[in-house]
Amino acid sequence: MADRLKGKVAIVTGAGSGIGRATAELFAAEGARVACADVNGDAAAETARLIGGAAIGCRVDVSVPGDVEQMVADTVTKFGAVDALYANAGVGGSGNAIDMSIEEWNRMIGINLTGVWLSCKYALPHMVRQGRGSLILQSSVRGLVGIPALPHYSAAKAGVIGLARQIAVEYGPKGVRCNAICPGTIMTPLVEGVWRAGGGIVGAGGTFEEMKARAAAPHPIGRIGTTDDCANLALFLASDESSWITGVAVPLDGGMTAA
Amino acid sequence: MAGRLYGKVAIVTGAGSGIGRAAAQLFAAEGARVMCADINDKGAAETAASINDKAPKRALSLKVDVTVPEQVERMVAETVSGLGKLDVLYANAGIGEAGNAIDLSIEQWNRMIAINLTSVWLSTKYALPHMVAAGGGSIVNQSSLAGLVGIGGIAHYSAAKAGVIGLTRQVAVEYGPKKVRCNAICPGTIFTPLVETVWSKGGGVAGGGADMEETKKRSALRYPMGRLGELSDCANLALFLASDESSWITGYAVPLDGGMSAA
Repeated sequence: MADRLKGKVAIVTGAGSGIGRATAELFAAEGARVACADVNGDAAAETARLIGGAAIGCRVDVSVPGDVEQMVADTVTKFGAVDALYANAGVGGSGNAIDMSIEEWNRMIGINLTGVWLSCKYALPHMVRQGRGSLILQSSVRGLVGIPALPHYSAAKAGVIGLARQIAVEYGPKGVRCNAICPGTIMTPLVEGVWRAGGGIVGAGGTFEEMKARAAAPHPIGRIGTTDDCANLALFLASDESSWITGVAVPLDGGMTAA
Repeated sequence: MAGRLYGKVAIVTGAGSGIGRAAAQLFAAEGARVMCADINDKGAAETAASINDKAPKRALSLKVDVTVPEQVERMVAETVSGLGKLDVLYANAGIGEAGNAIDLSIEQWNRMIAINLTSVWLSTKYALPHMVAAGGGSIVNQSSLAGLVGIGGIAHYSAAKAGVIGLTRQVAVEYGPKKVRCNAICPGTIFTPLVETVWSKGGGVAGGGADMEETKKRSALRYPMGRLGELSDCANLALFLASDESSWITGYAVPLDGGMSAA
């Protein structure tokens, strides 16, 4: 089969590792040509190399308008269109609403919220001109429900959902869809590294396997998510199979937010 | 070419026409063996025949009134005995009817709740033990946009469809640890033969009328994507939720509405 994105051009931000890399690879395997963007230019290039001929790598800081504009322009120059954009790039953090500094807050909002809007801002004109397009914005279960710690992350991710709905309603008549993905804990190389170093937000201490079990506990399905879980959902939302789905924020959380 | 549901066994209720038929055909095309259940046994048989014409012995059909416990129990039993197991249930069967909270009769109310809500629970009730025993499964329940937001003129339908969402979340949370997933689909207006019939009689929540194209256009205006839903929209979403691609998605009521509930 492997043709669910046949003929389409996709941009994936944060494609240098984890969810972004898994998704870029899946999109390409399903027939898309993919621009792999990451603030780590070497990692982006490596993802493109792993995919082969139908991909390019771009070094992009999604919080810098000029970088994002260039990313979209390079994609259109190379591949002639932009049909799907997965605004996945983001950062984690720590802290609470009292002790957080304004610098930490602004950096988080700049990358995890403003960075998503910038990707939409520069991709939308092409999608409107084409009369079609699918924007997929990375939110989080923290955009849906309150969870201790990370107030800036929760605010940014909830903001992403508001943006997704607004764009869906405004650009739906132009044929452009916009949806958000709201994952719970996904095991990525980044998360694994933090946990193995004894950090993370699921409570320090214990072995890596104990941390994994603790993180799985709030999810009724009884496990944490995988990069494949996220990539498969992004694929469905990018494809024409979901062409009447827009403005939704999909919990990808093994049932956590249903409880 | 193994297919996205390769090796799986699915039940689709309301498979005799419209969304159910489209979903049963798509499930089969993606490798599943399918029990096509419908109160209209001729329609169910036609669906199964259309599948078996392309891939022999891929489908069975059965006349089922989903409000009758014994019939639902038999549907599940015949699926397991005829197709070997049960991985996926798409509880799609249901009816539409207009009526507001003042003028509805208790008979109308009870009939709607029985067909559009109790039936979904009954299908779940008899499917769950097999899924739990097998170590997993995916239940897809048909709700509606009317289960998420208020829409005029369909009080009993809205209550039933919101009830489906409550049931979905509860089953998801309780049976998640057994690896059984449960999600709901919440479509806006999908242009099915049923809707066409209702509209042609001047009914329907968009304000029906004899001119079908005019009514369609008027109804489509309410959706940001500017069109009504199609059978394939619903079948594709059901396929995604039925497949292992969504194996970490459960307890979710997915709006399938061209953006209406985001507005």
